[in-house]
Amino acid sequence: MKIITIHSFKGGTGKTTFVANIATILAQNNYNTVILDLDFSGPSLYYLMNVEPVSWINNYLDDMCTHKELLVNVQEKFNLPAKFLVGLANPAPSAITDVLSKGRRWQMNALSKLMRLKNILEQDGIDFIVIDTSPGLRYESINAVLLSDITFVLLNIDNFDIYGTKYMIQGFYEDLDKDLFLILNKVPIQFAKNNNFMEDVKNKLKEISPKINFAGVIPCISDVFMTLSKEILALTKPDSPFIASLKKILSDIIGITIPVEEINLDRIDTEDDCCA
Amino acid sequence: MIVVLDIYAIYIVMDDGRELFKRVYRGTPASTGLLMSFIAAIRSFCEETTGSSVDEIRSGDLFYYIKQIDPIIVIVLTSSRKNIESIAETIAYRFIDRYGGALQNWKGQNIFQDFQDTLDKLLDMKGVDRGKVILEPNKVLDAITVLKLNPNLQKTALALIGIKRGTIQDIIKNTNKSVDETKKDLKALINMGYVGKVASGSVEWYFVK
Repeated sequence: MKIITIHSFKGGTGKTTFVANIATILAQNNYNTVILDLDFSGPSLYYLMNVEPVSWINNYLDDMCTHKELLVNVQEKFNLPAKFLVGLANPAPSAITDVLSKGRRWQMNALSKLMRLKNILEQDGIDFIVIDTSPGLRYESINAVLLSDITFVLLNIDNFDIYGTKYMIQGFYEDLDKDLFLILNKVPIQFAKNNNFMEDVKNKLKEISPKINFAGVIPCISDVFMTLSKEILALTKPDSPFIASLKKILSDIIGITIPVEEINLDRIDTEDDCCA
Repeated sequence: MIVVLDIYAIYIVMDDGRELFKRVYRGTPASTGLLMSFIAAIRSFCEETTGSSVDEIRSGDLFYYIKQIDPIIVIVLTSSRKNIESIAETIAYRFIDRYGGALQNWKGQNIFQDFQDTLDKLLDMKGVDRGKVILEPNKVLDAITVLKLNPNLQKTALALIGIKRGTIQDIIKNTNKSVDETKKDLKALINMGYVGKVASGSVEWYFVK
């Protein structure tokens, strides 16, 4: 089993959309998959998954429920061939402020509990756990990165994000014995099509730290924007170039065998560019 | 689950509340006088109002388990109920077997301290470093702490956070490190105050705060 954590320096980089879609792609390809929402300060997966959980991950970490009460099976709802379970964070403002008030002891217990959950899920035959986190260096995101086997850090082509990510990697990831991969997300198509420009960006990012591996570029495609975060594109529009980009990343980095369609940026019109 | 890590302290008192013996393994020792006054008051209150006695008082994660076997009362401060009744009973009977005669005409002399060795053997306790039975961690080992550790120590630290308490064999299951490497890591973590250690029987246990 592998744990994949999705992190970023800034909010709005597309973590939740990325999490929901790669987890769905994994389940579509017969991998038993679990999503855990550890973005306690901005829980969003709840709205995307459109399910009513019996218990939240907040309750689980407070020892108020079992993992079976936490995890909602959406395999049938999404018509998937493999198990697809989600553990959601409570979006109620009282729950968000409650987590903010927790101390170091609680956070240590949370990490311990999540590590034990990993063992339980492994015994239950789960192949992948995909974790959504809060942006920046918050307790829950540090816990999530420590839990992970592979961390994807998403960033946009934006100076704030690039420099923030640079300092986060130098000050946080460099001392960790973890595999780290950068993904440039929501890249305007005119930039994505410009090979020289993209090579230049990649090289600059690689200079940040020897820890950095570059996982891929996801073009800014209107398909994603048009879902208004109400649907999972891997389910509703699996032929989208966005999904093809994610499949390529999963195939290249995770090493799983899934059919990967060729992404031809020349076939994407600039009017399909959500950043145009 | 091991007993030694769950038991914080053992108090043995006469049924009139006078202290006979006290052994504190973990945490700060309570004044036996204060403790007995409180327990006597709450027991008396409960007996009058409900007709039954109190056999435990909970405080956060810990509780005082109270076992009366005349003429003594054994109070165990513990974090686990596992086997607690039989442990308290065994302690009481061992104490009575050994000091029953002396208890009949006891006038307050301090003559019970050698029960400490009996108790430690009973609980299968062995001394660890620095002449202590239990080496307590004094700092919380959490995610932020792990970040500050030398990368070589991070795997061992994380594995211990995952199980909270365990032997070297339990820890290396999740690290793929050798026993010698793990021992070295644990020694460093103990010296930094993040990890505690206790010996029970032939096994050494490591734990986080």
